[in-house]
Amino acid sequence: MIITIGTKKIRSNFNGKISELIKKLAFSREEVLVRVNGKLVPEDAKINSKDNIEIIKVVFGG
Amino acid sequence: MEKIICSLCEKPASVNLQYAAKHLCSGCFVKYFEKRFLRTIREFSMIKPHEKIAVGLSGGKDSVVMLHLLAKLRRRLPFEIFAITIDEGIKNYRNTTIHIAKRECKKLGIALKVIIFKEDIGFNLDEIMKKTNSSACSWCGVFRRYLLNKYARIENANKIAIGHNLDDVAQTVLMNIMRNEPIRIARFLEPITNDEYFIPRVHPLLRTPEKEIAIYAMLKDIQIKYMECPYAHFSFRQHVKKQLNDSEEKYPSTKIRILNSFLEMKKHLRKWMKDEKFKLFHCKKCGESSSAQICMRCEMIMKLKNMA
Repeated sequence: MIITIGTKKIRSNFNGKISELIKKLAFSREEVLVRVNGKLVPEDAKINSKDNIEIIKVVFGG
Repeated sequence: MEKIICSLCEKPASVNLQYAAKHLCSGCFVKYFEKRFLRTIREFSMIKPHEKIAVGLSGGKDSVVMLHLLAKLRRRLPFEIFAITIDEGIKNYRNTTIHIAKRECKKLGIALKVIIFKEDIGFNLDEIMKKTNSSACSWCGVFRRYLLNKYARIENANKIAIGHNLDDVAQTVLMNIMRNEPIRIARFLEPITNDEYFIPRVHPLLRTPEKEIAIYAMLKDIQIKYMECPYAHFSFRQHVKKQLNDSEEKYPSTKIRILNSFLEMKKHLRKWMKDEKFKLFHCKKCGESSSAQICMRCEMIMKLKNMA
C-alpha cells in the first residue's frame, strides 16, 4: 500500500478502517478527505494492503 | 477495499454523514448538499427577488462554492450578484486565492471588485504584524468587515453574502461564550441596527459542515487550492476549532447542536437586548456606523500610526 499525503509518499501494510488510519497518522477526520484507488470513499470503509490511499487535508485555519 | 452502499440509491457510497447516520453516493450527496443550501436561504429569508447581493469572495473553498451555488440559484430566483475580494496583503497566501477568485468570477460571468487594504487602511497585514504582537485576526477581521460593508454600500448592494460554514458559526458561538460576550452572541448573524450605513449579512452555508464544502468542490470539479493563512496558528479560533473537531469525532452532531442552541438562545438574548440601552453612532472620523463615537477601524488606524 502507498499512502500519499500532499507531496509525501509512505509505504504501509495497514489493514483496517480508513478512520483508524487517519487517527494513526494524527489527522482529524473532520479535516481530511480520503481517496482509495482514485475514488472518494467513506471513512468507515475497510481497506487492505493492496489499496492505494490519498489523504487530502482540506480544512485549515484562516 | 470494502464497498459501502448509498443509503438512498444503493450505488457505491462516497461519503459518510455520521451526524445523519447515512452513507451517500456522489450523486445523492450533491442533491442533499444543494437542497440544504436552498432550505437555509428560505429558512432565514436570506435573498428576496430582485435584490443585489455582494458576495464576500476570499477565493477559498467556502466562498467559491457559495458563489457557484448562488450563480446556480439565479436560474430559479431573479436577483443580482457581484463579488468583492479583500486583498489584506499577506505574502505567499492571498495572491493565490485572488487568482482563484478572478478565475471563478470570469467563468461564471460575475463582476468582481478587488479592494486593497493598503489603499484604504494605509497598511497591509504583513506590515501591521511587524508593528504588533497581538493576533492578526483581530486587526484583519475589523478592517475586512469595514471594507466589505463600505464597498457593498457604494455598489448599492442590499445584502452581503458571507461563506461562513457550520464550523465557523459553532466556533464563534463557543468563543463568545468562553469570552463572556452575551451581546456579541445576541447580534451574531442578525444585526441589531437597521442603520442605512450598515448592509445586512447573510450566511447561506451556516448549516453546512466545512468538510462537506470540500467534498462538494471535489465532486463538482471546482478547482480549489487548500492553504492555511500564515497567521491562523496564533489565533484563539484555531484552539477552539481543534477542540470542536475532537468533540464532533467523538460525539457526532456536536456542531449542529451548538448552532441550534445558539438560534434558540439568541431569541431570548435579543428580548433582553431591547431593554438594554444599545446606542448606535456614526463614527466622527469616517462616518460609518459604530457602537462608539469613534469606530474600531479608526481607533486601530490611530493606534498603528502611533506605533514606531
